[in-house]
Amino acid sequence: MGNLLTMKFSLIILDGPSSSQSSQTALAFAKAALATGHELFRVFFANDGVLHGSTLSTPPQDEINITEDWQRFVTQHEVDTVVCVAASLRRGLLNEQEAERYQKPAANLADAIELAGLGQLIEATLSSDRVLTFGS
Amino acid sequence: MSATSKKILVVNRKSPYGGLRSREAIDTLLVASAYGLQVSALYLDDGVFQLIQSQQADQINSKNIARMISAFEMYDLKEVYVDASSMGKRGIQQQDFVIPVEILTTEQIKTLLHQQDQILSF
Repeated sequence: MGNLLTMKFSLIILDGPSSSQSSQTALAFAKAALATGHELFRVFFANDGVLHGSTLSTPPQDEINITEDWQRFVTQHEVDTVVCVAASLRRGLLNEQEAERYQKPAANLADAIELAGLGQLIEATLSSDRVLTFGS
Repeated sequence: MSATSKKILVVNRKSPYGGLRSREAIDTLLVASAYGLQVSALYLDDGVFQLIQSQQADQINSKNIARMISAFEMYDLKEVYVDASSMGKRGIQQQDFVIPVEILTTEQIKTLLHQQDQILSF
């Protein structure tokens, strides 16, 4: 495959880790995209999808931990990854700064993931060749 | 092509109070419009219920989705499309809507989708 065929993708993930299979499909897509020489401009978790940013997800050991799988992937490949801040606060996903601001007892956002506004989604939409939305 | 000349369509398919997706789609529309993008909205499937004027959201302790939609014009968001067949299946008519919309046939929706650079589906 030649360089002319490489594309810049952004992914939007809407469903929570336990509400559908779509984030597994999205992760498989992301891995395949990088493996075939494409670029991931940004992964944007919105709606219930923000729960993929939690460091506290603890499914039984014989089950897939898709939350951890996503965090490992974006850390390893240094993928620009954002959780929507409004959606996150609503669902109890906070970084240290927000936990302090709202006087909550803990922060649970993975280090590799940034808490930011919908402007990041718009920017990704403008800067990418293709934006794929995953979620029912 | 300059980035801001991209045409973006936000597709709304979910009922107004079945989850938070309707509201977070509205947030996306308003942010996109505030950034000065060429953004439009398409309502189809149960998404058409979001446009109904007579919503009494306070009875289920929710914020009124129709009231948020009625602010579209203030945000300079004037291109709002609705799927005619989704309306027909649900017995909804144009006068039930909270804002003026353009009602499209399936063929016209195909054309609309083809005209976009990016489609965000909620």
